[in-house]
Amino acid sequence: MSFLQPFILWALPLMAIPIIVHLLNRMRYRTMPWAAMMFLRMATRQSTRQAKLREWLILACRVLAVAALIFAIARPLVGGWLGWAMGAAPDTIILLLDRSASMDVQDPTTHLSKRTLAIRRLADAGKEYVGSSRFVLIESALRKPQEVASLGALENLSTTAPTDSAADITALLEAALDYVVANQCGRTEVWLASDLQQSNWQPESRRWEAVRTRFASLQQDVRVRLLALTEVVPDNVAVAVRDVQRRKTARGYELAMSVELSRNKTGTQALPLAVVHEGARSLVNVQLEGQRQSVQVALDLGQRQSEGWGWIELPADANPRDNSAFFSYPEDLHLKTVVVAENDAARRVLRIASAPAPAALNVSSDTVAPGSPLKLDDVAMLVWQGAVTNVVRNFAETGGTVVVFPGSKSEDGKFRVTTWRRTDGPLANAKDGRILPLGEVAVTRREPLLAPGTVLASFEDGKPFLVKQPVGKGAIYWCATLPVREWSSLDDGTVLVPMLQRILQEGGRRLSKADNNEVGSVVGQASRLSGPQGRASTDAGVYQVGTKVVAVNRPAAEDEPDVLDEPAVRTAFGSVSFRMFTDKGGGGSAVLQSEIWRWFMVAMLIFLTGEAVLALPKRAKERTWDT
Amino acid sequence: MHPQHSQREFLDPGVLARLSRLELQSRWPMEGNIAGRHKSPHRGASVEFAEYRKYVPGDDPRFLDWRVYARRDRFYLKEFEADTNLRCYLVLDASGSMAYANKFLLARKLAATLGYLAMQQGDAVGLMCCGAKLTTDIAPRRKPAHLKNIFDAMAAAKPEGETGLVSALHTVAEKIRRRALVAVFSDLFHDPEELLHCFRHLRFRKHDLAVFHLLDRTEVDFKFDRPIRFVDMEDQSTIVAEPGVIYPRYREALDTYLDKLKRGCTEFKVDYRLVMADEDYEKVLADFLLARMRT
Repeated sequence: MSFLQPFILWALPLMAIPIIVHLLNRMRYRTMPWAAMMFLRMATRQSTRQAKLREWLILACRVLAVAALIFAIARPLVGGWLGWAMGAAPDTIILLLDRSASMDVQDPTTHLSKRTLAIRRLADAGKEYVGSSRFVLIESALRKPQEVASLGALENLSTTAPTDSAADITALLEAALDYVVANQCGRTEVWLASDLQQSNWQPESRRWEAVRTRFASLQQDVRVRLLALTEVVPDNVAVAVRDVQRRKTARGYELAMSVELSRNKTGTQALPLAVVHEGARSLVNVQLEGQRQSVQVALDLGQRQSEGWGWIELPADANPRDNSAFFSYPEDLHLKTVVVAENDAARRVLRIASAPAPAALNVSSDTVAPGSPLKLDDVAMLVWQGAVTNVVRNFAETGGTVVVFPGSKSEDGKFRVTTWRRTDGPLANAKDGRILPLGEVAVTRREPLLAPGTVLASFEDGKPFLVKQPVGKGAIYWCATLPVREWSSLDDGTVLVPMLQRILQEGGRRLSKADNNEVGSVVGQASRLSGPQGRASTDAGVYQVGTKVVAVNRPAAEDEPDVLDEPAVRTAFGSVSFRMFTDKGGGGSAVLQSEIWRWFMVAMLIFLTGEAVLALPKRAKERTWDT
Repeated sequence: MHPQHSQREFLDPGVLARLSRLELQSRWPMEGNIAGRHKSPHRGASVEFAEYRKYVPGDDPRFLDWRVYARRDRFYLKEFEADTNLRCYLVLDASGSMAYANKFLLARKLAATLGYLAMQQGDAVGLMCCGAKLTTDIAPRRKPAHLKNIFDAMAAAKPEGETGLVSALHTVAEKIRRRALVAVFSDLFHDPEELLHCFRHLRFRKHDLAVFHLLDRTEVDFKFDRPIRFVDMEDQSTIVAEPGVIYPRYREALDTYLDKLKRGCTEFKVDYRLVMADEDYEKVLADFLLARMRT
């Protein structure tokens, strides 16, 4: 048994307090001359043994209650999966390994990452079941069940290597459930090792309900043990490139990058930021103030018009996986928009909003009369008003981006947009944090949107204002109103222009030779450009995918420091047979440990109750004295 | 002698005056040396007829009943009861245990008052104060001035040391050759078997034995709320005890002891009276005297 707060054990001498009080009480006896000693002697001769035994029991209860309290405060840990391991060996043990980037935080003393520690702990705990149980590994990056022949080799498997991916814990549990059902496993235990990062667990997700329901519906006895590696390492800074834009300058081009630095401590910290571009390394000194800081980095591209890539590096710290952020930038690309609109006023507004400053932004917009043949090969965005035809769907299928505005069907009234997605997408807040004034848009006419997809904005009554429908390789954005006076005040441009420009940038990716993506989202053959090792499915880097240069980075959520606490985890698992074990982190303990302070509190209550019962004076029978 | 002349805290003139109307009577015939108020085992010259007895040579012919001779032609002697005085021995326990509460004062009040009443009716009064060993032994005298000696001895007595009551009672039993009233004032904290043996000894010697068993209310109730170190008032030994814990066993021991004592006293016809220290001694003595007058 070990303790989370062993220094509390220095208070153990306090156990002597009841003994000291007992001795002091003995010294405080009132002395009284007494005549009837013969009866006293007879009475004490008979009851001394009982009284002494009772006295010793009371004293023992008091001492043990103090000891139990001290032990409880010291937060004792019991290893060996106590309680669970007492049962028979399960048929199958499914090892669920969180391989997200945040699991590679290293302990400053042992230099072991949480992932390595988790693997060793799982292997150690599984040793006693070797020969009696079957081990299956499902890791978070690929989520493919893999039978493990030797627990000793677990650490050397490629599927337990570090990744830059995020972990979807509910998906991981579902994969385990799928395996249990598909293989008709008998008694099964699911051993999950995770750092409880909130973005990976998403405890508010409705998928947890589905997971709980599936666990409940299983006919097998399936239990979950969670190894929580929640040790927080203070010295870690993460870097991420949030936005990359090529700009035209008087001398040529420059690359404007928004670099986000986040850490889990406060205070001023000087940090050299290395920007590597096409093999050249330059240093930018940054002064970090808060926990999260955005830094604008400009890179002079000269007259270079072609696409390019590079990365930003931080000095080595606790987590090597979040010290690099890769970027790629497109060639000097002209983004073309085609506007097809039945409504003349709408056509004019949409054309202007699609290309408000053609020269500066290197964009253009053409209008085409409805029914005319369209040539869309080099078009980044198609703006469509009126009845949707196959042309629109075909364009979207091949990767194009379409914005569809309503035609004739309409509903009159006064409508206001109250909710919209502000973190990303075409209606996201500006980089400086300013909110798009969508709430001020007055809508007097709208068309009900029936297309399935993600609702990006909705009216007060819950009906959608803007819906994104993924179609093939592209997407169709459905807008519920028209940017004309009879329909709405969208025509003032404060919302329409940034919305269309953001959709245009998204559509431009189809044509660009450079792209920025998250790990796991790259489809197809990819060869690494930014180093000799790594795969696009699991590792951040710059990859050549077909003709494109794609910078792949770990998901932004992996830099979030929020971690679930035990009650939240228990709520997520609900009625699932579940036990949580904590690991102190870099300690030398080779066993999984669980906190048992509650048992000590219960023991203390029992001792106190026993003491109270024993200390109660016996109520003697009242006797009348007849002389 | 009037009690007012002896300024004793254990004498109350009011109580003496009120109790003077009552007589101290013995329960058994006494063997006195002068005429008194008590029956004698011998025939005497009182006015109370006792019996007729056949004349035997040597009898005083003055006591022949001539009327019976006239009717029956036989000599019969007419005998009358003899009234005599008694010797009253006051045995006062002066052991350390009597110092608890006001037991010793009560004992002295009872003894002194009883002695005064006996002296008032012409009986001889003696005193024996017994502590660890016999400390005071005043032989019974009828002279009223003798009371001063007794009261002085009572006033000088101090309860201390271990009790010598058992040996004192045996001594008294052997020492007094004629029948006497022996009044014992003690808390009787001694082995009941030995005490009863003493009582039997006294009764065997035809003494009228009256025992005033003095106890304090706290010794009976034993109501204390905290652990106490009890110090023996006789030998200074100590016992640390929690009264709440040992109370049942204490009462059981006390009850057993009292039961044994009462049964023994009944068996040996001892006039046993349990007196609480907070009781009115006038009432105790009045009850004692009235009960004897009724028998």
